[in-house]
Amino acid sequence: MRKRALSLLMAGALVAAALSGCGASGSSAETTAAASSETTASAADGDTLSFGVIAPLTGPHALYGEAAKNGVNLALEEINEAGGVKVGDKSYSFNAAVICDDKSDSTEAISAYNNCASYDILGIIGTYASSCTKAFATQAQSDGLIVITPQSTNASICKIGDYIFRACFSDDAQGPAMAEFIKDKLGAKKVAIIYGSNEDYCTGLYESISKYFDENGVDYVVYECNSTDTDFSAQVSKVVAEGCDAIAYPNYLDTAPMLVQQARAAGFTGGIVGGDGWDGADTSGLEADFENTYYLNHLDFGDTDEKIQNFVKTYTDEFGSDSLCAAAALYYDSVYMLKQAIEESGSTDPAVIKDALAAIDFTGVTGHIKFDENGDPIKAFTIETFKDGKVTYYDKVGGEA
Amino acid sequence: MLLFLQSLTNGLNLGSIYALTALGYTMVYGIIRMINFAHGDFIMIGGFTLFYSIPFMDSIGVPKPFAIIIAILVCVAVGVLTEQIAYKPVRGHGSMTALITALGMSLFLENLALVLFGTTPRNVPAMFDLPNITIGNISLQGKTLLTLSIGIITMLLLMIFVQKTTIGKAMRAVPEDRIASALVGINVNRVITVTFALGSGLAAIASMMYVTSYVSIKNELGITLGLKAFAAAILGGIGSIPGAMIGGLLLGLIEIFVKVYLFPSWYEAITYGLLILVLLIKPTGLLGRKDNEKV
Repeated sequence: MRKRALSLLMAGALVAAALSGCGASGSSAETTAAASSETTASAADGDTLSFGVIAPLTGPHALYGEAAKNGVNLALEEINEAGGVKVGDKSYSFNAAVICDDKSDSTEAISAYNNCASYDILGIIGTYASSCTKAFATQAQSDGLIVITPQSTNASICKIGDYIFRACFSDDAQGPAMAEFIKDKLGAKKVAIIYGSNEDYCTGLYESISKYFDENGVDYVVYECNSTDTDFSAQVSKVVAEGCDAIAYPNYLDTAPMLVQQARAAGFTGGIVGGDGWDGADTSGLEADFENTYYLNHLDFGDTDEKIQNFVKTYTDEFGSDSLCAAAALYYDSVYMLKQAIEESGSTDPAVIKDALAAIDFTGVTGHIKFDENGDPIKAFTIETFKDGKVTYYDKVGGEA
Repeated sequence: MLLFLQSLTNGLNLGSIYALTALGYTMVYGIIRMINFAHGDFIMIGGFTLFYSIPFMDSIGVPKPFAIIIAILVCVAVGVLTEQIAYKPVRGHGSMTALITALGMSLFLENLALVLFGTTPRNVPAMFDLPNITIGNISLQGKTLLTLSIGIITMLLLMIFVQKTTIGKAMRAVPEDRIASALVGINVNRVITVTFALGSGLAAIASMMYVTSYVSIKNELGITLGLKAFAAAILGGIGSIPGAMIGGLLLGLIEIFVKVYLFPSWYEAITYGLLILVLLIKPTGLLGRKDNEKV
């Protein structure tokens, strides 16, 4: 009898644990929306428009997941306090039906998508890693759900269909921007590209960088690694042996400090350049090593632009500064962009909203967005460098006026 | 030639870390016949302890290397607690139960670290200020020599401990025949607790060498390291202390040389392929002995 009760309890706990992957954080968004709809008259119609959120809440990029969740909640708080989303003469409160964790794993991303799709949503805002967004974008396209990915930069994503958009630049543009910087600003004659061959983001960037180098006659060598590697001594020893004067490292923030440290220890003094995956990298203890390193980013938080500073202030006041990174600003912008598209389309049907989204002219914290025919925004790149280990603005390239 | 020598030193550095980690796996298996899959996560806990205790040592004016004492204490505490809470109740219920419990403990520790320490990967402040020796174009880092020598000294000390001390003798008796050991007056529970304490202490030392070479730590650090060190322990013969050392060094050298001279993305396939090959030829690993059941 006791064993039966115990096993029922365990089964219940297991089911609860399985469901706790989502929903727990989503309810905070719901209570925020409910609380603000009680205080403001205009959003009190009781009707809500919902979207799903997918982010890497746990796993190797959990920092971005936390930033994403905070960015979404901040945007929802502000939108609902200002009266919600207006479609025609009706006001709806905006809310995230559920925030699901994809653990930066493409299989998990698919189940996260399925979970989101089981709610009554207009679309999905997510996710961070390109491999994960690619995993569910095709299904979303055939399901007729809008997808706005805040930070997946892989070039093939928006080509999947007309429901798929992104709030960030595409690797088709980021790769050449990185390559041009290495060639022109750093004046490198021989470049080593070290990329993680198991990730779409890293491979996509490598492909567009090497294509630029091929077209512009820059000499380069390629070394593969795994995005979970911690030991790069083999690759950097070859870089030094080959006499390269610049390293392109289009991988993520968790391995960037180790690559930089090991490259410097092996005697490499040239420039090291990364993409937007470096955002949030910890440089403590390695300030000297991070001199002469650069990475492309979506925005610089030291920028005196009013929109950016407002965002920095409200975000840090509510969530502190540990998780303040581009992912927070991009998820925040994606929510606002969806709201603007809904209002401009005057409809709550994703099929109509997507057309409004394709024609949108949106200015957010991360810059001005207008989509090209694929659903890729034409945006400027901020180049950051490190002074004494602190992220410092270096330059801005590209984008349109 | 230069590249070869450089790769040799790199391989020995990497291999020493694998070897130090493998020592923990092999010791626990040798005495208790159980694979502690949470061992990699003990190293992660050691790493985070160092992250907090090194600045603390600085603030009270003690030289940084003494932070290892705090790390050892914390790791031993975590190890013994894990053993008492998770492994002891399922002792004797079969190896499948022990395996699942260990895996569960590993997941628990990883996510506990996520909750306690947050999501950002952190850099651990440097503990040692060692000079780099540059001979021609090869840079031999002081850290490499330190890691290698600590690995060898630990291995030797462990072997002396197990062979020459009374409790070491008890530790060798328990896996041979647990009932007989109890009959001759050995406190089996105490021996097992001591084994875990020792294994966790080794994890703390391994974590110290890991953060010296690879500054960045995060809650998932134990996963890949634990897996590779486990493979190293099996390769060298699980249960054999010099085997763990050799397995670890071999794994590190193979990894580096495959990355430098062959296809970098194939090193995992080649490493594990080699492991399978060795096991097919010698099922108990390179230095393992066959444990014959005496009736």
